[in-house]
Amino acid sequence: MKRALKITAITFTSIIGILLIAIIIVCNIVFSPKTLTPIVRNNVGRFITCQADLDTAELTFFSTFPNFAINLSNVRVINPMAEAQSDTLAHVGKLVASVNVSEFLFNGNLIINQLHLNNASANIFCDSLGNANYDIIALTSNEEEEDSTSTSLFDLLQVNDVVISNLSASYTDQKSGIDAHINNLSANIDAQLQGANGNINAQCTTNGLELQRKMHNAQCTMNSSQCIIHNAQLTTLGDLRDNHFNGKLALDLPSTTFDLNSDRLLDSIALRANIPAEVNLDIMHINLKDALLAINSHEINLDGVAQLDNDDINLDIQFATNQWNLTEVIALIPEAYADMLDGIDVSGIASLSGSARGTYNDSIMPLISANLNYTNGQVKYSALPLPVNNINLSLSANADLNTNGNIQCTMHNAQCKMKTSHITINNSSLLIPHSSFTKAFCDINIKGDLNLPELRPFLPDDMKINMNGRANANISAKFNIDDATNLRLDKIIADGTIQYTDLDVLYNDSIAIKDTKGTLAVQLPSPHTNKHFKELAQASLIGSNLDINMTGTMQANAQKPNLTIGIGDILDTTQFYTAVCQFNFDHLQGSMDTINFDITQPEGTVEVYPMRTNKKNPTFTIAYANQAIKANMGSFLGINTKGLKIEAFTSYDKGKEKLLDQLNPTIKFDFNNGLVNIDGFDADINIPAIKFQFRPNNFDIEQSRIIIDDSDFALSGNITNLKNFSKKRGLLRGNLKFESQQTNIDQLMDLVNGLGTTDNATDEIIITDDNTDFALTDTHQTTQNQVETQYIASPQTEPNPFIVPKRVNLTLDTHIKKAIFGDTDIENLGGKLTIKDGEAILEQMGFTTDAAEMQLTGIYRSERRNHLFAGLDFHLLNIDIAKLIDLVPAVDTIVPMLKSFAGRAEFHIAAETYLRADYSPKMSTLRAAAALEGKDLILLDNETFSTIAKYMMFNKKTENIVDSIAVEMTVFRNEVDVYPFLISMDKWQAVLSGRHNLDNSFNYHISLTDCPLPVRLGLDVKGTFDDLKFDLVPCKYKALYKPNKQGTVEKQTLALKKIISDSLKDNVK
Amino acid sequence: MKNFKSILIAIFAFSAIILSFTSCSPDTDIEFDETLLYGKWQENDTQNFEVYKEDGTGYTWDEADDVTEAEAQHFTWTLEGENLTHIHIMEMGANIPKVYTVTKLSATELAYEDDYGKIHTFSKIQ
Repeated sequence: MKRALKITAITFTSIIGILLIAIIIVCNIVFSPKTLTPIVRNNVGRFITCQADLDTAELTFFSTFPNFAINLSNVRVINPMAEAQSDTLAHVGKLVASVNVSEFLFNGNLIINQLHLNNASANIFCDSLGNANYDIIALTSNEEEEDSTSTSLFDLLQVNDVVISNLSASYTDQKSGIDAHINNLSANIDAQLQGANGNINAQCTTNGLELQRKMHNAQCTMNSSQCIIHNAQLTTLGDLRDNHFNGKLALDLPSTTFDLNSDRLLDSIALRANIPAEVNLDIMHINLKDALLAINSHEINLDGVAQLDNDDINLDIQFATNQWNLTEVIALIPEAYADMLDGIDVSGIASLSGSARGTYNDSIMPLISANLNYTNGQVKYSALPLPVNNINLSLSANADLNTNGNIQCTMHNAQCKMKTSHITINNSSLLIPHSSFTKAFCDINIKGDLNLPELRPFLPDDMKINMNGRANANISAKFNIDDATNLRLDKIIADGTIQYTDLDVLYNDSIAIKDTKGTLAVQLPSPHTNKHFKELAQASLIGSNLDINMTGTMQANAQKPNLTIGIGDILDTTQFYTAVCQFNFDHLQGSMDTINFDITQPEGTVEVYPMRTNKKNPTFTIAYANQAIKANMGSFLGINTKGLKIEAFTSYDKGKEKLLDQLNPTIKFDFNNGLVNIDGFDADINIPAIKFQFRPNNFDIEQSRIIIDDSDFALSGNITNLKNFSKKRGLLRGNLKFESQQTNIDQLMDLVNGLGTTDNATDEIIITDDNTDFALTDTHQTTQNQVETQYIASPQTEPNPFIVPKRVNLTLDTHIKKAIFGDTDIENLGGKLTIKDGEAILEQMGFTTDAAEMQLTGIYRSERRNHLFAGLDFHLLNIDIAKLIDLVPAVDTIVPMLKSFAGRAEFHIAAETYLRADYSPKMSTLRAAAALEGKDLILLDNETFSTIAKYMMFNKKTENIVDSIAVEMTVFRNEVDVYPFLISMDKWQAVLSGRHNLDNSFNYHISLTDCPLPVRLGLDVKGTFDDLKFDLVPCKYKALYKPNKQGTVEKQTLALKKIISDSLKDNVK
Repeated sequence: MKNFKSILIAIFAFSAIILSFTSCSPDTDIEFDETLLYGKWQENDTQNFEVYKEDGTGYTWDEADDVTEAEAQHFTWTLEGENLTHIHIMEMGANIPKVYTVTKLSATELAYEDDYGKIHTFSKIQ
């Protein structure tokens, strides 16, 4: 056994020795560098078209054991091209290649066991026409045919242990403007090609990489101090001729800079890539399988396919980032662009994922979807007065950037915080059409918990407003940006509520609004239907205890205010605005200047909408009601009512001339159970009811009752033809009824006495001197040592008299069941007061008292301010003379002798005069006629009568009873003429006549026409009552009442008396 | 004494009879040309005007009282002998007669007086 082993060992050793000897011979003798170098040098020229050279070619075995290897030194490939970096295309200081000769010789396989390149350099150049200096492979026509028909020259082509050390290379492509430089590249590569299957694995490290590309005037440069390709794999899939590969590239550039011209875009960033991909070059298809690209720690994963089809790139790629710290991302923004972020400070963590699907070319963009998650974010922006903190949002977007495409962004959830205010947005979206951003459609849902003082910085600085309180807002809206910008409310859907608590707003230091809590709501479209217009939006306010204070002007408090405002299309310029406001309060209390009011449950509706016949003009509809009002105007006026209802309708047409035509109003007014107090008016004015309706042409007083102390009044009726009256085309007509169960005239006179006067002394003069302390007035400042006169008030202007309106025909039918005037009760006072075309006529006002039955007709006419007509026609039937004088004191002035009689008489008087503006009579126009008829009157025994009786020699026993009397009197200017009248007393008859002047002087004559005496005496009584003169004169009227003795004068005198009497009595009804 | 009283009564009665005859003297027959009255007259030293129209109507106004001619008050008038009668027509329906005795009437002057001796003199202005 040992022998056998020994023989075997010796044999084996011998063989090895022989082999070694053979190898040495082959390497050093047969293929010595001297012989091999020319062979190699000559054969290189067979494969390349340019010049190539090398220093030596050496066959090695022991250094490359167990393989034979060829060692080339200073291999140079020289292919000069104009503008190329160098004539030398490539230079390899040392190239060692080991080939499996037996495989090559016996199996036809090319197995390169080793290929080492040391100290190599390359200068790759491609000119602007596409000619490249590396296009040096020389192929015969047969080889070209073979190349196109066979996959490989060998059954197996395997390259193992490819090691590149210290390779420097430059690449210049003038056509694309690319310059690239690699320094000190080291690489390990393994490759195998067997049949149609091949694969390649490589690892590579370079200590310097520079890429540069020129584009127009810009130059983009990338510099990386190191580039490590950890793993580069490429494996064929299927037939090699299919150009279908599976590959992977793991790349790491730990420190890289990018420059654009002189601007540093990125500085010392770490780039990382791990790209598994399947590539089909025939169809230019790449399938990325969870590829990773990273800048520093910011990774993006790509997964999907891309295919180049002519000019189209078909994409179906998903991408996703890891969580990016935005502070770090923003730090990557080049300084050249940093000013774009001036004032913006964004931080937080963001991650983005999405996809790109579809075709990309010059005219088509793929569909891009993206999802953004942003957490723990903070945004500070100079335009935002407060930083936005705690931002957490989830956003997705789908972008179709093609024509007719849309970009849709959906905010799934977002929260942020500003100081103590919180805002949340859920399920909101923005759809942006490619055609126009203004047509973008928003669907937003916002909730906010707002601390109102924190909103102040968001308002304009010049808006002086301070706010306190909190507001909880919940707003949903769907709208088009363009519609919202232009307030097209009909195209906006919105529903929002703001609930506030402890609201305290001060605006402009003058308007303060406070409320404990309330809700402000807005809805589009309005949930309400309106019969007058399409209600597009509705806003409502429900408060609790709303205080409004306008400093120095108005203060109001509303308990449980409920306001709802609806508006129509405010942009419709073809017609007037449309709006409706409904309100109701539990209680409304306030004050304005001297006015204080306290209203229980006021409620109502105010509506404005276009007029039916002219859409440019507004129509207003108002309905108001309350349960009770307490109001006062200082101490001057107080009102307390239990109910008030007002309904009003008006269409305003400013084109019309008259106010009534402009407004065209219809008003229904219902006021009941009211109590009114007026300063200086001692009694309360009790108003049980006032109810009227005002229409454009009619004013209907359905009911009105007023009670003042013992008096009550009721007015009803209607006034018509208002429109024609306002246009001066017709009379204002009215038919009113005034009724009173009782009117206490004395009380009323007492109540109104003093009304209208002021406490101010008129024409008051203040004289100041240097020794007087005085108060300064607002308008006149006086100084010491100065004397001046100030007229505090100088109401020199006389008040205007009552001017009876022209073109008015009003009738007031009056019925007063009982009127109390002094000691007189006047009953059944009735008649008509007519105002007709500038004239007021008190027509045949009849009444009865315990003193008389009366009938009064009065006329007042205001022809002009200083020319007023006043007339009366007054009939007292069966009047007690003393009562008459009490009732009408003026009668004593006109007929002073009347007070000398007692008893009942019939009195008629007609009087008229024109008055000045101050109502003083114009004496030249004074006219009056009076007639007094009485029987069995007692001639009062006074001093005057005694004197007359003495002169007339009346029997002292004669009873001074006047059997009958018929007196006619006239007043013409200042002359009162008493026409001759007969007085019969017992056996005495006398005729009296005379003139009485309004200055109380008189000139009377008494004719004693029948008496027991044989003579007929006359007596003149002249002077004044204080200075009487009696003269016996001839009897003037001895034949006046003796028909058979009457002459012309007597007949004329009696005729004149008859004229007076008849004309007066004709008016008695 | 009783006789003295009877004598005194007789003297008084006689005087009265004489006076009564005196007071009842017959009317005189003075005539004035009515046509001279037609026209516009202004009362002397006043702004009082009277207008007499041929149809027996007239009107009067006093500008001192801020009354214009258009606002004048109307009357009817008659002139019989020396008696000038105005019947002033009131709007309130009554009539007021005023009787005067014309003492002078010419183309330019008019004077009348009433029973109480109040004299009015006018000058014609139209």
